[in-house]
Amino acid sequence: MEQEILKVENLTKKFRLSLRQRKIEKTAAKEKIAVNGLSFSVNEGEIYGLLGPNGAGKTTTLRTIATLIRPDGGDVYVGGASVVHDPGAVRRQIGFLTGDLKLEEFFTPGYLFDFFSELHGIPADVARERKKYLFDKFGINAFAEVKVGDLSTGMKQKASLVISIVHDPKIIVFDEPTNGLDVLTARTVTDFLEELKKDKKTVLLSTHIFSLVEKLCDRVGIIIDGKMICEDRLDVLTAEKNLEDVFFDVYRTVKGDIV
Amino acid sequence: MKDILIIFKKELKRFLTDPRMLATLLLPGVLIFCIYSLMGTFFQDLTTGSGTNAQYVVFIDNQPSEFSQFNDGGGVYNISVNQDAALSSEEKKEKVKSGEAACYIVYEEDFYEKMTAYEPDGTLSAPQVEIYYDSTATASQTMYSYYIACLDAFEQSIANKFDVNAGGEGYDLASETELTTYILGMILPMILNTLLVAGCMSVAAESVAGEKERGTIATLLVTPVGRSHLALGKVLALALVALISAAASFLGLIFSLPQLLGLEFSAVPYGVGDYFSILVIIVMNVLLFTVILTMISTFAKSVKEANGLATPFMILLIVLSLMSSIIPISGLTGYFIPIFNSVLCLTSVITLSFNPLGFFITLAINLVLFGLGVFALAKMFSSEKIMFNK
Ligand SMILES: Nc1ncnc2c1ncn2[C@@H]1O[C@H](COP(=O)(O)OP(=O)(O)OP(=O)(O)O)[C@@H](O)[C@H]1O
Ligand SMILES: [Mg+2]
Repeated sequence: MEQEILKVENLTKKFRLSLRQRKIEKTAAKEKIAVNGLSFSVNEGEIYGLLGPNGAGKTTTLRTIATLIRPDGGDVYVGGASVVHDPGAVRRQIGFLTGDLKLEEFFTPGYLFDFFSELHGIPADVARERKKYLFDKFGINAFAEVKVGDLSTGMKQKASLVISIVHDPKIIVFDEPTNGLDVLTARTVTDFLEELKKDKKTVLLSTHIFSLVEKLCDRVGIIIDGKMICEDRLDVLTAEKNLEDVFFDVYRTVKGDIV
Repeated sequence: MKDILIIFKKELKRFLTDPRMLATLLLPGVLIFCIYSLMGTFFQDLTTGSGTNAQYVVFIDNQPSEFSQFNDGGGVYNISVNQDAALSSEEKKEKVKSGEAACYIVYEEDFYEKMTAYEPDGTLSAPQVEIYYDSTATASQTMYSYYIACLDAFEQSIANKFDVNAGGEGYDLASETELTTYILGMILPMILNTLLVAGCMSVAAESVAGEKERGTIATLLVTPVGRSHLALGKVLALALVALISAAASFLGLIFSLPQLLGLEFSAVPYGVGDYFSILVIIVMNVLLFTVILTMISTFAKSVKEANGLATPFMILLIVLSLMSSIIPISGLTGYFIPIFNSVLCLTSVITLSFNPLGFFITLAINLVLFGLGVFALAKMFSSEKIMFNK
């Protein structure tokens, strides 16, 4: 059997809603259950796609995995370390990137690479090797010493991607990596993911772009209202219909007609 | 420990290599220098020096020969007595007002005889001494206090045979302009504190609320650095940066003092000890302000909100700074009120009435508060509600 790198076990996360949030969400409930007893796992060398409509709980799940927020119930294990009991060990093994995780504009990609390498406790010579390797591979050298604030969106994106993997993490977690990017910039992300796939890296990514999943993922999980509704190998799921149709069928069974 | 240092270094690089940031940091010092120098030019006459070798000119009318020993200055003051009858009493008062003389003492004629004859049974009135002085001039204050002390001591020894300044008002010859200068000296702590806070605020808002707003703090939070280390690295770097800003303010203050007081640099009535006290007070304030403002900044979602939330703090600070000059709280009570106490210390140094015990109470309270603040800040960095509030 393949080795499990990530294991999400019965994960639950609730948010207490402020008065303002209750008004926006048009609800009297004091709490919002964002993730509701979610379980799944990602194996070594696999690319796992998490699909779900807005508000399904994808970001919440991934943030819990990245130890940015704590679960209210259940647990998540990364390389055997629990996010509840040993978040430090989890952080050492995980690379995390989302559209709203940014690099400080004042610094250069080169400086930030060194800074994050140091924070991860990577020995200087190893870090230097890795920097050269990654900067060559993803074409960062041309703008390595230009302040992030002066870079184009595409260059910024590339720099963020590379810096999220300075420590050669066991698993890389991407939350909607192409969200809000134009076609060209989105392409840098897709290319980056393809590179990772070639290198047999383990990746968990959330998105609502079906084509991205179809192109890259080995397995797919569909979550709605914080619950795992359907999970299978991509080739099994899309044996008869394309992914989009599969998704809408699943959605209709759970929520009734699409409004 | 090592990650605290890494964070610390990054924050320093952020603030000390950015020309715009550097300008905001050094601006308060430049402003203090400009404002105070300007103020000095407008109100150009406070005092002469109060060193032991300075000479005090004192006008005395009808001095009983028995009192001439007072004029020795008790071995401390160098007093030059002028008993010139050619000047009118009005002219003498004018000289006190202008600072040419320290004070003007008028004994009633045949003072000593009347004094010995006096019995407090109401049959004869007690002989009078009147001392005209200027409460805003240090030299005048010094001489006034000195003669009052001499006369009091003498009066005690002969059981209440005369009255000093029994006429009520009109003895303090401080002019309007001098009073204004004095009041300006009192609001100095306010201006200084406001500028210090401004210096701290720009870096604190940028460092945490700014990073939250732009989503860069989360990039740090997913690294293995402990939350408390992150908080500590940041607040220490911010404190150091704010201290550099404070040092600029301090230099601005020192170099504008001569202009402010209208004196040669060497004649400014403050010594090394006074400057050192001012420096310690500034450092203390900066540490306290940094931790408070970093907490505000951590609580806020954006730089704008951080600045908004800091406004009430700013107002409180100004009110506390003004209060020390309006409501003089006697004794040590005031030194137990945070922020207010450092204002008191500053005012006391400036008005040459330094209280060492009060100073140490202030120091202790501020250091404890700084420690508590850092602790609270580390807690805030661990709170997902605060770091990820929607
Ligand atoms: N800090 C928070 N406070 C209150 N409610 C929250 C908070 N974060 C998320 N939620 C709520 O939890 C639910 C799940 O949100 P989440 O961001 O995980 O969804 P998502 O699947 O990532 O959606 P999207 O596709 O829009 O990114 C939503 O209803 C959201 O409003
Ligand atoms: Mg999301």
